[in-house]
Order: sequence, then C-alpha cells, then structure tokens
Amino acid sequence: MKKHLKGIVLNIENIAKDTVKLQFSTPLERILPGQFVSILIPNKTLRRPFSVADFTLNSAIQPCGKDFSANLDEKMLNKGVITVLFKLKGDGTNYLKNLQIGDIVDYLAPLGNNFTFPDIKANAQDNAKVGTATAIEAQGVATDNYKSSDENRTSDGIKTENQGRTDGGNSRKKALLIGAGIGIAPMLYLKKTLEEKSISNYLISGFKTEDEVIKGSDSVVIGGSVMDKVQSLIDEFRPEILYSCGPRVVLQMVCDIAKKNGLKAEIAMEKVMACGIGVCRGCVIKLKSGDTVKNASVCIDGPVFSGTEVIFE
Amino acid sequence: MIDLSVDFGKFCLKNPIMTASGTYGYCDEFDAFLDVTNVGAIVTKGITLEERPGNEGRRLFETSGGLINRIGLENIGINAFIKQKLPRLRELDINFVLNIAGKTEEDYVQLAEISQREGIKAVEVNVSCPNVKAGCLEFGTDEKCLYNLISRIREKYEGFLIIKLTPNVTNIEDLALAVQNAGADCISAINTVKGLGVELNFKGTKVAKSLVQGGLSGKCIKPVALSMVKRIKEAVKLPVIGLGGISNLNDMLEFFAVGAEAVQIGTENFTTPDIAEILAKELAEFIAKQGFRDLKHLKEELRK
Repeated sequence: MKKHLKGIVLNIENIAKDTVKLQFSTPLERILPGQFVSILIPNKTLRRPFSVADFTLNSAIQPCGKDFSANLDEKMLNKGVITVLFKLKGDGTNYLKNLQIGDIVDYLAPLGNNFTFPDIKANAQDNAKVGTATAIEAQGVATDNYKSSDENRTSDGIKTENQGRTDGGNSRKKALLIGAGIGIAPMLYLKKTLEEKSISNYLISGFKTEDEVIKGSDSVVIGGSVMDKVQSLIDEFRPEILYSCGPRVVLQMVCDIAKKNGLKAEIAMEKVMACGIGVCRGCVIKLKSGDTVKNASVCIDGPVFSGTEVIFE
Repeated sequence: MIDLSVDFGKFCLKNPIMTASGTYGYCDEFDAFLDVTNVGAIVTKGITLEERPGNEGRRLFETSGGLINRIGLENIGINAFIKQKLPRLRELDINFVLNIAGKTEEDYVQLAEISQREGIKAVEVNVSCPNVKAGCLEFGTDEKCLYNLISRIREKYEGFLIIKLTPNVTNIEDLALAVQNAGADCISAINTVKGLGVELNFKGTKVAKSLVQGGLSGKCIKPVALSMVKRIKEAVKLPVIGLGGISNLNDMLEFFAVGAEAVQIGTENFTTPDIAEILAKELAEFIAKQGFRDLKHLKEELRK
C-alpha cells in the first residue's frame, strides 16, 4: 500500500563523482526491486522519483550514535532502511545532497511495480530447494559482487570485480543485469534480491568515466557502451532474462538484443513525473497491446515494463 | 464539531475543500493516502464522450513555483466512467462533481443528457476547449459562444451546474455574466494560465531546444486567480469556487476573503497527496482557535 511517509536521514555520502548515496529510515516492511520512492523537495512543485537501490529490514545502520527517538512518530518508525542513489542534476538533487544525518525526508512509497523473477524450478541443473543455501551450492555460483573494486582490468576496458569466483564448471546465469550510469541503482537491489532467491545472475554496468563508477557490479565498462559487451555475455551465460535500467537508447538496445536472442527482457523506464501515483497522466509512454497501441503511466503501470511491449519513440 | 459546511442549494459540501479536475483522477488512486470522504467534494478528471489518448510528446514542464502541463485531456470516456468509476464513487458515498469537456456544443449537450439520466448531482463544465466549429477558438473566451453553450447544457441538465472559467481573456466579467444569464448555478475560477516552458541544452555551439506550451498551474498563479475571483464576484451574484495555487490554510482564507464560497486544490495534490484532508482539519482548528462560530462566521469577518 502506497503511503505518505517521513524518514530520518541515517547516512549520506558521495560515492562517485557527482553521485550521492542517501539512506533513510522507513516504517515499511517491504519494497520490491524496481519500485521507487518520490521525495519532497521544499519550494519545488514536483517531488523527485528515485529507484530503490537497496532496502534492508532492521538495519544495523545507526545515525552516528544519536538518539532520534524523540522525533519518531507513527509515520517514521524505523523498521527498515531505504537506499537511493542520485546523480547531481538540478535543484532537487542539489537540495538532497546537502541533507544531514538526522534530517527528515518526506516521501511517498512504495510506488510503481517491480521486476519479476525467472522460474527457479525451471532450471534443470538446480535440484536444490528454492531459496535455500543449498541452491547456491548446487549452482556453484559465488556471489561476492559487493567486494571493493581494486580488481583487474582487461585490455578491452572491462573491469572484472570477481576474478576469483568459483563457477564449479557451470557458467550459466539465469539473469543478466545491465546498468547504464545511475541506472545501476535498481539493478543493485535486484541483484541482491536475486541472490537471496538463489537465482544466478551477472551484473554489467557502464559509466562514462572511471571516477563515476558506482560499485557493486560483476564487471564494469568505462567510456564505451555497456551494450558492446552484452552479446558476448549472453553467449557465455545463456541467460533466460535481461534486466536493465538506464537511458532510453540503452533500454531500446536491450530490448532489441533480447528479441534477437529469444530472451525475455524487463526494463525500468524513467520519465519526468508530476504525481507519481497514476493520476496526472504526465509520464505516459506507449505500449503495444495486440495490434493496437495503448498509453501506460511509467509511475503506476511501470516503471518496469516487458521488453516486448514498449514502443520507443 | 465546527460547522464547515457549504450549502449551494442543489449541492452541499461538508467542508469547503474540493480537489480540482485533472489532479485527482477518478479518485480511487488517492485512497491510499487519505479518507476521501473527508474531502468536501472531488472533481473528476475531465470526461469526454469518447475515450481520448491525450497529447503526443512531452507533457510536463516544472517552472518556478508552478507546473506547465499539456496532458491533452487523456480520459476513459463517459461510458467507461459510468461503468467502471461511478459505482465505486456511489458505493463509498464520495461527494463528487463530474467535469465534462467537448469539441462541439453537441458533445457537451450529450454529456449533459447522460449526466441528467445518471442522476449526477453536480457537473463542472470545462470551457477551455477549442470549439471545432468556431475555428477552434475556446468556448470560454467568447461570451456569445459561451452563453449559447451553457444555455444548451442547462436545457438538458437540472443538477448543480458549475462553469469553470479560463483566465486567458481580457474581460472576465463579460464571461461571468454570460454564464449567469445562461442559467448556470456556480462559477469555478480559474482554469490554467497559458504558458510556455523553454528548455535549452548546449553542446558547444549546438543548442537543443524543448518548448512545452500548455497550462500553467501551481503557487505562481495564485495572484492571477485571486484577482479573477474578486472581479467575478463583483460582476455576478453566482457563488464562486476559487482555485489556483492553493497549497495552505492561508491561501484558502485569501480566496474566502475575496468572495469564494469554496476552494479547489489542484497541483498541490501532486506534492502532498493528503493535502485536502490536512486543510480540512487545519481549517476547523483555526476556526476554533480564533473563536469564530463556524465557517460562515469566518467568511463574514474575512469579507468585512
């Protein structure tokens, strides 16, 4: 259920060039990968939507030992922590970057739909029970993608963060995740969730320059297009589904390459929004619906759409 | 309990706070954020005879203190509204006004007939639509055209008839008089102000230009709206519902002070989805704290 909520800033830090990580408390017990929050910017007419880059329940993050319990009311109970990432772009993000630990964030959440997951049982090689630790062992997938990025870089510009992984002779990954720029944000939360569900996956992301790199990918492309690497990853991992978030041109290429390879694709779209809850019809895109075309609001029918339905204009 | 009610005769509000057309959908989207029965009345998204897909291209442009939109009346059409949305509004006993729009007089007349047949208690007419038969001049900018339109709607519809006036005219008084003479019950003012958003992006000497021509709403239009409401009140006897940039209690009081009987909240619903409920509560608390008897008493004092 969508709610109008307030949270306490628990952490705010620069994580890359012009890129900020903001973490705040929430009374929500569940947010799904792909969903977003819409944050109030004082003196601005419109809230700003941000993909959830992480959500943890009962997190260990405590705001510098300060006691905020006096500020807590029903709407601000700290059950979980929402993480959003943003690139400094305009007045909204420049306001947010100056928030301090202990400040209040006014937000609507959880908004929009979410990514769906491949059918775990469909994997013939996976005879372990769904969602158990043994599933990880059965697939032989190491999931140490959150380690820091003092990794090797190959001559073609791809950085590989988990050179040391043990594949157990099985190089299949059910899901290939493609993040472009700040579009990595929902991919990070999706990756974490896939891993919790023992769904093998691989995240590649692309950034313009080295100082803009946001950590957490299995490999990173700097400078060139992340899409240049996708076909060879499909060939290597034979995934069932591609997931992506990023600029429209990248999403279109993801849909095209998924179609070419006969794969499913789910993409998270972005568009300027006014209400964020499906009322104003401001963030409308066009979808194929059989032989006809229909409107869909990114905020309520999306932001996640199937790669086969979106019409790129 | 402080009495906040507004009695228009044919139509009553439990409090003077309404939500403006196009900012509240068909109401169901707001259930998550507030108890919609605490709102004086909601005004539906503008409904046309047939479903409309709305405008192509960019639809929103944020400005200092406001928002330009060119949604283009995307809506599900009157038949789908009656089948899908009306039963729920009635079941939950939500006080609502049906906002109607059309391209020709005949469109409006048919919508009026349907409203009458369906027993809809209140209708607000959007007259800021291009009149296809009159060279696409807006219905609401020419007093003769407006008089004819409202007279024809009035013949078919007996319920509470509100005409929503556009501020994009020279003499709002003439249009308000035309509405009164044609037999409408109430005026709401103002619709959005025509505006243009210009966005320029440079790459060296190359300029990428994005122009968004649409209706400006939000805080920045409040002075225009207040001025229009005052002028309309001085020109006609009809009750006026004020709207344009209302986002807090004081804004609302300013509209009461210049003669508005009720107000509509528009763009602020996007920023604060529970604003209508919040303002109803704040208004009651303010009246009690200041020592007014009720809303009527507050309005009397504001207008002295």
